[in-house]
Amino acid sequence: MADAYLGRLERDMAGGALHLLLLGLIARKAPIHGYALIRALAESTDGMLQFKPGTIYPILNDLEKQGIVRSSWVSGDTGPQRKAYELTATGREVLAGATTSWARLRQAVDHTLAGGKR
Amino acid sequence: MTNKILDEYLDRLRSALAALPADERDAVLAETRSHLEEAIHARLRMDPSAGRGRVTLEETVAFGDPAEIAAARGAASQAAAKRPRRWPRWASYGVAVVVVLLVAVVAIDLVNKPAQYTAYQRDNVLEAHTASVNDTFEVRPRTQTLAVTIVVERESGCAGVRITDPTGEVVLDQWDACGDVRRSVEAKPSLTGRVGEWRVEVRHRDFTGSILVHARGTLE
Repeated sequence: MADAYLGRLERDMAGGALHLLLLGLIARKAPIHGYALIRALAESTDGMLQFKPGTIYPILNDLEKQGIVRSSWVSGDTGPQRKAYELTATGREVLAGATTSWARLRQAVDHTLAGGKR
Repeated sequence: MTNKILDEYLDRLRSALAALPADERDAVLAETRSHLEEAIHARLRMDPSAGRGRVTLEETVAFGDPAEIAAARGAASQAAAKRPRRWPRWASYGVAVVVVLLVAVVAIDLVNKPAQYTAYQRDNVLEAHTASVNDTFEVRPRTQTLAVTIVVERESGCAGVRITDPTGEVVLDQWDACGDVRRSVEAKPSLTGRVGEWRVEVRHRDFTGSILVHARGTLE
């Protein structure tokens, strides 16, 4: 029971950070296509966060619909064209705001877990 | 170079995304194909001896189940998988028939893992004219869903696959792949009372072609 709940908790935590991580990676590595982005996500977290491509691509699609990222098809090394992503100006604003929020959230959680007294 | 397993997967994805506007669906399919071709190419570059069929199947499994992808896009298809009228026995299993035969199967190796059970073709040349192969995979108590896919591509002869649950009930039965060049079957059987050892039986006679059996379970 505890294992199952812990697993769910960990998935929720990973899921909560996923959008921020994707935006951060796109900002650093743009233009970047989906396959490379998914690999970068796993590598930058030492394999801790590995999501199915079928999970990531709908998020990218949604980010594009909201004007946070834009995409373009570029020629790939292996032949087929790839769809590469980069942040828009709106996306850069969102990333900056989300990064600040994440820092505040992390501080609040750490503070609470450490005893919470002010 | 054509890749039938990839094409089959994309066909299933296309069906699952039927509710999306055509241009959006085409964009999803194009990006999915691009990703998978790159992933397959990368795997084969690392291990040239790995079978293209097996790598393709692994990468499509890793990419995600088409129905789940469609649900994630809010585009769950209303269309049930089409059931081929000439195989009415499949209708009761709610099976979308996709049979792809992998070349020169002698044995099927099923690997049990906590969240995924994958069957691979062994790279042996078919010598015997008549042979049968038996193998098993285990469905563990925490497994919530099971998806079994049989993919058969026939060049000559006959081949068939039968899968039975721990009670001995036949879940998938494809004993008569003698006429078609290509068949594939997928089933998602209910797991109630079916925890334990499942059995895969393959029969072939004067058969050249390929058979792939893939069983994938997901834990709660």
